[in-house]
Amino acid sequence: MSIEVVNLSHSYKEGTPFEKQVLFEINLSIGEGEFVGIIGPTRSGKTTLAQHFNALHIPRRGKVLIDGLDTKDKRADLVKIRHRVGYVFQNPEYQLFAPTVGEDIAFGPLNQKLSREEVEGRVREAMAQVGLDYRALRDRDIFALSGGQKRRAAIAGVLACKPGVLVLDDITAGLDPRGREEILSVIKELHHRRNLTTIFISNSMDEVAAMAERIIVIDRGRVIMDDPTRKVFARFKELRDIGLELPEVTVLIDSLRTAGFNLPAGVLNISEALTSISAALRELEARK
Amino acid sequence: MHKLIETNGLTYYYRKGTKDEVKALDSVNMAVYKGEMLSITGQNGSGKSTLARHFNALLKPGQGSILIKGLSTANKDSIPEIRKIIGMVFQNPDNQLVSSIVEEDIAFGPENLGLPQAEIIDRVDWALETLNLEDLRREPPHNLSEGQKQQVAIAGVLAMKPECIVLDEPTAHLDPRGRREVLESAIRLNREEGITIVLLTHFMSEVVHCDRMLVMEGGAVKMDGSPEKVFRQSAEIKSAGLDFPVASQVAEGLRREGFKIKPDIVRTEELIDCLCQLKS
Amino acid sequence: MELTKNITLGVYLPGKSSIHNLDPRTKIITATIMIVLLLISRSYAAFALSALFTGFLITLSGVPAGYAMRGLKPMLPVLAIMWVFQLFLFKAPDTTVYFHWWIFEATAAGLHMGNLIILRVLFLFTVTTFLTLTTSVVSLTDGLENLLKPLRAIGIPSQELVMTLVIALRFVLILAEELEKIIKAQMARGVAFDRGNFIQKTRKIFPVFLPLFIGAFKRAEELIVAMDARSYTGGKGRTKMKTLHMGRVDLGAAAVMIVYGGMLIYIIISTEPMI
Repeated sequence: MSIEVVNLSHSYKEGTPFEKQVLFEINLSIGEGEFVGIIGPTRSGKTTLAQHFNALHIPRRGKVLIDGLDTKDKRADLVKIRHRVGYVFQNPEYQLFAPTVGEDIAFGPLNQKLSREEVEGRVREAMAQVGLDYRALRDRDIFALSGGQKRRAAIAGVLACKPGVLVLDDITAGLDPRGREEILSVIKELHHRRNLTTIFISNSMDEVAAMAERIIVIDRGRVIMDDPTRKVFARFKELRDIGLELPEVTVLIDSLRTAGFNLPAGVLNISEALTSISAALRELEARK
Repeated sequence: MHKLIETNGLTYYYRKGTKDEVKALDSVNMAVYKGEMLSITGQNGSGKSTLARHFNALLKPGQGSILIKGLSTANKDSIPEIRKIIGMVFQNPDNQLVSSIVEEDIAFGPENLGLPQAEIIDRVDWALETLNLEDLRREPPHNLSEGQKQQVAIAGVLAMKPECIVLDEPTAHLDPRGRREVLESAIRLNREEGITIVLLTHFMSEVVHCDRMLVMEGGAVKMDGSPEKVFRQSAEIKSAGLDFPVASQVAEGLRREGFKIKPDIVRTEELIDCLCQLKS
Repeated sequence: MELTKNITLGVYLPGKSSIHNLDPRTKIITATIMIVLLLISRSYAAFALSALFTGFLITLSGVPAGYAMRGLKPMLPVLAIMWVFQLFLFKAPDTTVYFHWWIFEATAAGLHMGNLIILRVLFLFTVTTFLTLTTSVVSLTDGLENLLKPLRAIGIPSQELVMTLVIALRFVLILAEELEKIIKAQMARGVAFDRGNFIQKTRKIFPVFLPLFIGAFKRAEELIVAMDARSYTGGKGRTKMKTLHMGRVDLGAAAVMIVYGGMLIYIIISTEPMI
């Protein structure tokens, strides 16, 4: 599925003394099967923009097209759009409400008016996708799960709607390192196996660097960069100026470059860092 | 060194006596020394938060004891004194700010202590200044970024002039800049104001800036020492579900490639220094 | 999806007008007097004077009149129904009958009764909204706490009551945001809140309240722990950073109120009540 955003602007509390414009003439398009990261300081408008993708916000100025379908169009079936574009909120476990894991995950498919068997199949499949044991956990009290399990259950609830696009809004916040790793590998797997268009909003530059192929940088409601990941992180000075911190490896490599090492810009992960530092050190040794 | 907090066989059960009883702390023996910056890390559910809540008597020991400057938290009469010594900052700033104006919120603690008006004003000014929040003093908290809100929460505790501030995952929900600002504040309070800091965190990039670290697993303290010493024990770190700091991962990789990298590197600056020495 | 947009009650609009600068106690007492006077007003002339005075206050404060009245919008249908009920169902002897159908009678008495109720609700709402629009929560509660202090003598924990109010007000906004998040999350999973008949709509609301209450309890619990950690043990032994001062503006306000109150009471006594 593809998403097209044309001249989108948005204001909160329009028509009151508290009115505040949060998005300014946004233009972008996201193609089928892409893995796009959205980064930006807090309150830059990331979430507001992303909530236009599944028609939780309807544009007043500009438009948003989902597979060519205008969300502003009176005839557009918004419920259908919301099923096609799955949205996982920040701290999604706070929004669980059904007594058992299975019932909560079934909520979306039931809204799609599917048959009992189909719903059950969806629940089973979604639980498998996020690594929750169907037989052991289906009837488990939702509040008896651990924090990380609850979050995976919440993601399963969205996957059960069989979306073509998955929007993930800061889904690792508050998790411990192991929990983070588990969730991220689930997301990677889904993207690779089902070619799911994935939009990944995150506060952790290390995660975005490791996950996304392309990054959109939002600052004060405007798109200021939209490029392949490596190219974006090579512009580290601008990123720092708007208040973003770079991945730690990128900082390391950058400092070494300043210290006179012959290293490439835009190194994104530890193995790349190792290869390039080793090469630079060998070169130095050879010269000596 | 002088012990500010000391636990002895500290054990705590949630829902004690029911069938859902959980042993959250299992005979913990640890100490916090005056003037140090200590981090406590470990997976969710490892007991770090439960332990921290004993430090200012929000929880009472099930078994064993905890002493704050010699005062037992089990003694009800000591609690007001203990809460003056130990301040506490929590994960979600929205749930700990009481007032709808920044300076009023910072005054809340001193007001509770029944201080004279002039003293309260002095302390609020001092706390605002120390955390560089003067510009925000009349703002309502909902106009602030999450990082700024957390700074206000720290200022509110600071205004009570505690000897020790316990920060319970203060950066878990912050963006990178907010995270850095909160960490820098904690370091500054420790180095410049001499306040003992206990920092609970999942971020190894924060742990490496502390003097000492405790690793908790299953309600017990599994490791205790300087970050350099603790991150040397790679098998234990992995079993506790923790990451390694980026610098030590790179250093380890380079060592395996046969380069002479000095041992115990945990901070980025140390690695840079070391590599620059190799170069010259 | 924006739930918080139409909430004006309890919202503070910062400003520098003389109304904003009044001591909160002056404002609370003034608002109370205005409300009492409205409740004893029964003539159109009295309401006309109140309308003029309220309009004067709003102009003086610089609050956009449209915004001050915005919160009424969701109430309009209810008000209209109330008015119709009074018009047809209020019974009085010796009154003009405008219109008669089956057992329903639209009478002059009913018309006036309907008008009276609508006017009272409108004024009550406008005065309280105006009070919160021009007074920050902090000074509102400081004023209340100060005014209620004498009640401690007869054993009423006024400080604790006010603290409860402070926290309740802070939570209204937080809960509204939380509610918006939960509704959005359920819309994202295919609930159409804007569709279906009344019963279907009501049924959709239930799954919203469970997470809302769980969330609210969790937050409340965390707040209590945080207050505890900051040595809060109730009002006893607490001191305050700010003391309240009555100034020249407050004196002026008192004079204005005496003139207005005197005129209004004269009108109430001397004019014919509408019903």
